[in-house]
This record gives sequence, structure tokens and C-alpha cells, in this order.
Amino acid sequence: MSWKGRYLCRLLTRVPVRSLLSLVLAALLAFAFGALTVLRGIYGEAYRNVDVRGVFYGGLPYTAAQKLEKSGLVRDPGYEYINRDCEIEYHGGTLYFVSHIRYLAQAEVDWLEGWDEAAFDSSDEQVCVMSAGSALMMGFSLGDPVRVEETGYTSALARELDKWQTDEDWNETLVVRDQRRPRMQLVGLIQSDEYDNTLYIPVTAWKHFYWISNQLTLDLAEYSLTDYHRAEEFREYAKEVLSHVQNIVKLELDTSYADRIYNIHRLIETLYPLTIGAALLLGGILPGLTVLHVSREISILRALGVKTGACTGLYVMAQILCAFVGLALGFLLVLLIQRPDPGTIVRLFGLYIAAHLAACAAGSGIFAWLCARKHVLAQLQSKE
Amino acid sequence: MSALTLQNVSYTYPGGTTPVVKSASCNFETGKIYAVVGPSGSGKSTLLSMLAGLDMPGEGDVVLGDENLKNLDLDKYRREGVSIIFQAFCLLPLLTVRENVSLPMEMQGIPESDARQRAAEALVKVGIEESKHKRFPSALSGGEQQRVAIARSLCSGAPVLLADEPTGNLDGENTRIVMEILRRLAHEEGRCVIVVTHDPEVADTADLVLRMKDGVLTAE
Ligand SMILES: Nc1ncnc2c1ncn2[C@@H]1O[C@H](COP(=O)(O)OP(=O)(O)OP(=O)(O)O)[C@@H](O)[C@H]1O
Ligand SMILES: [Mg+2]
Repeated sequence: MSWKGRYLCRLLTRVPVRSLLSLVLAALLAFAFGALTVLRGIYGEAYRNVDVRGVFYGGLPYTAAQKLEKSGLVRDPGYEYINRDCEIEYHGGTLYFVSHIRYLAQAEVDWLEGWDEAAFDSSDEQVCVMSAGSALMMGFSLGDPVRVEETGYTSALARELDKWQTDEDWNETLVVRDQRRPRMQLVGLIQSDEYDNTLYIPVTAWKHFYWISNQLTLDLAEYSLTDYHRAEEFREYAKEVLSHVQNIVKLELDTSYADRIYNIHRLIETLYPLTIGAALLLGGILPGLTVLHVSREISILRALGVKTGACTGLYVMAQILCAFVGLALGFLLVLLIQRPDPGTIVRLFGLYIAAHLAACAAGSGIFAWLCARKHVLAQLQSKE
Repeated sequence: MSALTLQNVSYTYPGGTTPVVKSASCNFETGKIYAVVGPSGSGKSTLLSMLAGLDMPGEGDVVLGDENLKNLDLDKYRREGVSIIFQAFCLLPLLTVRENVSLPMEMQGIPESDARQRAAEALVKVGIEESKHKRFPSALSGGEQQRVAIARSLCSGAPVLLADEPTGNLDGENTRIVMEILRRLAHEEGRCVIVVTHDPEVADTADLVLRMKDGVLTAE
């Protein structure tokens, strides 16, 4: 081994406390960085995914709902309308109109070919989904058109009866009525009798319901805020829209959870660069001070004719090795304790390790260089 | 033959006002041993440091053979041209006694095993027994450390040997041994040996005694 190699080994092992301290410091800083990075990822994700829903109860007029839809403050509307005077003999008098299959709990749906839950919820076609039991009783099968009236939907049998009517005028009236009624193609059958009095119609098809009553009132209307920071604005807007409405409509809009997430997210975002800055500062200055501590050794090497660059190189290398092992340990610790998705954190960690090592090299390098440039004799006159 | 020459050398410490060395001139020849004596603080170590290429004189020149030190690679000069025994020993605390002695040889490219062998011999010569060769300097007495520093210089093979109070921590017996070694280096191996000392006995061993007083160097 060359004398430099041996000297480097001694630098690392002769005063183990010194090396260990450098190593532990680097590990702690790497761990702090890693932990904060993971936390930042979690809260960043939580903040981006935060979904504040505003829910209207008590009969929001459909016209008002449409205004709200177009306000730009909300997205993803969901509606429910309960038709309490349903005349269809097969049902118990109440028929629920619901806008999204996602409100369906657990039950399986048999879809017409080419359809599924996502396609249905975002469809702007006139389609519907009902329970398999209702469909069977009324003689509908997948793909059939279903005529929806204010009293519910008309069974296939009733439709046949309609046709069978001979009275011309009556027929005339029916045809007129018929044209005003939307026909919804049946694209899904729910395999559960829990939903016998529920009819699912995609939200965009609801505009065809004007005929049900002059003012269709939604028993439940809910929206996601596009930007929850504008919650107050939305509340104001809703108040304005509802000012002409007689029903007492209640808006439930709770931002406290989102606020909490946002505050933590903001705190982490502020702390993050500060922590990195502080970590790099420490990662540079402490190795530098360690080198400063042994400036007399450097002077001796210089007196023996070792070049400034070689001296500096030895001490920088020793610090870099300690820091590197420490950083790797810190990284491992983060992986073990926090179990983040390695894909995302590896790149950031790579950057941090590079920056930390650069800071360490700069710190120890500058101090070693300064020591090597010190007045050698002045250093060597003293015995300590 | 002239080994080192001081030509009107003056030196003032950075930030200092009065020069510590004032216009010193002297010619040091190969194969001779010189003693520099003088009161404490008179500038002896400072003078030595300029001869050693640790610092450049503010005025005047230090000439090695016929080459001005200003034009030389001082690192190389310190590695190969000169060897110094410091007043404060200056052993590397991270290296063992033997490694300290073999380091200058290894830096000159002498193979490790040879360097070790020669280091061990030099250490025995200055009275450090084999059992202490693997110790670290901190585990030696002051006198022992000083002898290790002397051994380091003996091995370096440099044509000029500078020693700052090499016997300051030694007893009479060891002083005689060390001075005998230095005398032999000069007279038998033809090196130029310059010793700074307070000890009249050491000064007596020298071929020429120089006196330093308030920065002024005079031959006796
Ligand atoms: N680094 C320094 N900066 C300023 N002045 C210094 C420095 N080192 C030494 N001096 C001063 O220079 C003068 C000469 O110092 P030097 O060490 O050369 O004396 P010396 O003759 O070797 O003394 P001693 O016999 O005690 O070793 C002293 O007055 C000392 O105070
Ligand atoms: Mg001195």
C-alpha cells in the first residue's frame, strides 16, 4: 500500500470517535432529509387529492344545480331525486333517481356490452341502469329503451297497452306526451333486490327531466370543489343562486380536514428547503472544523514536502468516505423505517447525496487548503 | 563545496514591524557541521525555516548549490533536498514510530520494505529499541520522540540536514550519541549539517559556530 493509502486508513481508524461522529452526523442528516422527503411526498399527495365535497340537502332545484355546475367552482356533480308518488304498481310508491353508479353499495352490475361503471358515470347519452328484478317484472332486458315519466318508468306491458289504445284523440295525446318523455336505453342490471326502487341515470342526462315537474328538486346534490381555497366564494355563490328558492336548502361544506392537510403541507414546503440548506451547511462546516482541528498534522506533512493539493486531497477523501458511509446508512434507515416507494425517493436521495458530498468536499477542502497554506513554521513551533 | 548560501537574508513575520532576521549572509559547505547559537528569541528557528524552504526571505536570497530557492519547487526541495529536525519534534501522531521514520523515504519512492528496514536500523542507531517501533509517538517520552525525529532525518538521504535544538530533551549520554551520528553524517557521508543549539558541548562538536543576536548572524 502506498503511504497515502496507509495514511488515509489511519485518518479513518486511528481516532475512531472522530470518524464515527462524522459518519453519524451524515447519517442523521441523510435520515432527516429522507424522512422529510417522504413526509413531503405524503402530504403533497394528500393535498393534491384532497376532495372537499359540498352537499345540498332539502330540495335544490335542478335549475339551480345546473347553474352551480356551470359556475366553474365545482366539478363532478352527483344527484339524487326521490319520486315519492311513483305510480308503478310494482314499487312501494317511492322511486329513487340517482346520478352515479358509484353510489351503489357493493352489488354487482351486469353491463350491456361496451359499458361499465366509468363509462356510465361520465356518459352523456340517454341511458339507465335498474335492478334485474324490476327489469324482469316489467319485461325489460338489456338494450331496451325505457320511457321515464314523472310517475316513474313505464313498463313494457304498459307500452304495449298504449299502442293497443284505439281512441284516436287519446292516442294523439299519448304520442305528444311520449315525445316529451325521454327514452333511456337500459345498459345495466343490478344483481340485488335492494335496488328495486332505484333508477340510475348519468348526470348529464338529467336535463331531459324537465318534464317531470316544472321544478325538479334534488333531494341530494353534491359537488367537489375545483379549488377548495375558494370554498367561501362557492358558499357565497350558492347563497346568491338560492336566494330565489323557497325550499330551505342546506349546504354542508366542511373544509377543516382539508385546511389541516394544507397547513401541514405548507409547513413542510417551507421547512424543506431550509432543512436541506441547514443540512448541507452542517455537512460542509463540520468536516471542515474536523480538518481544522488537525491543522498541525497538515503542517507537518507540508514540512516533509507533501504538496498542498495532496494534503488537501487526503483529508477531503477521509471526510468524504465517512460522509458517504453515513449517508448510505441514513438512506437505508429511511427505507427500513418509512418504507417509501423507492422509485421516487432514490432520485431525490441521489441528488441529496451528491449535494452533501459536494458540501463535505468543499468544507473540508477549503479548510484543509487553508491549513496547508498556513505559516508552517508558526504551526510547528508549538508542541501541541 | 558550497551546499547552501545565505545572501543578505532579512525576514519579518507577517504583521510584524521589526525584522527577526537582519541581513544574514553565510556560506554553508558540504561535509561540515555548523552550530548556530544565541539567546532565545534571537531568530535562530526563523533562519532555519528559510534554509528549509518553509518560508521565503523578505529580502535577500537562499541559494542551493547554484540554484536560487526562489526558482525551485519548494515541496520537492523539502522532500529530497533538505531534512529538518524540529524543535518540537513534529512527528505525525497517526503513524507509528517506524512509519514516521520511513515516510520521507517512501515519499522519495523507496520501496516500502527497504524503507522499513532502513527505518528500523536508524531507530536502533539512535537508541530506540525494536519493541517501541510499533508504538505511536504519543506513547514515547520527549527524549525518545526527539530521537525518532532525528532517525527520520538520518534516513532521508537529503544533502542538507537542519536541526533545531536536536538535543534539547536528551541526557548527556544520548546527546553524545546523537552528536556523534551528526558528525559522522557530515564528515563521512559529506552532508551539510546545521544545528541550532544552546548547549556549549554541542557547539563544541561543530566545525564552525555562528552566533545569532537580535537577528544579526555573525561567525565566531
Ligand atoms: N509566527 C510568528 N509571528 C510573529 N512573530 C514570531 C512568530 N514566530 C516567532 N516570532 C518571533 O520571532 C522572533 C524569533 O523567533 P525564533 O523562533 O526564530 O527564535 P529562536 O531564536 O528560535 O528562539 P528559541 O531559542 O527560543 O527557539 C521571536 O521574537 C518571536 O517572538
Ligand atoms: Mg527556536
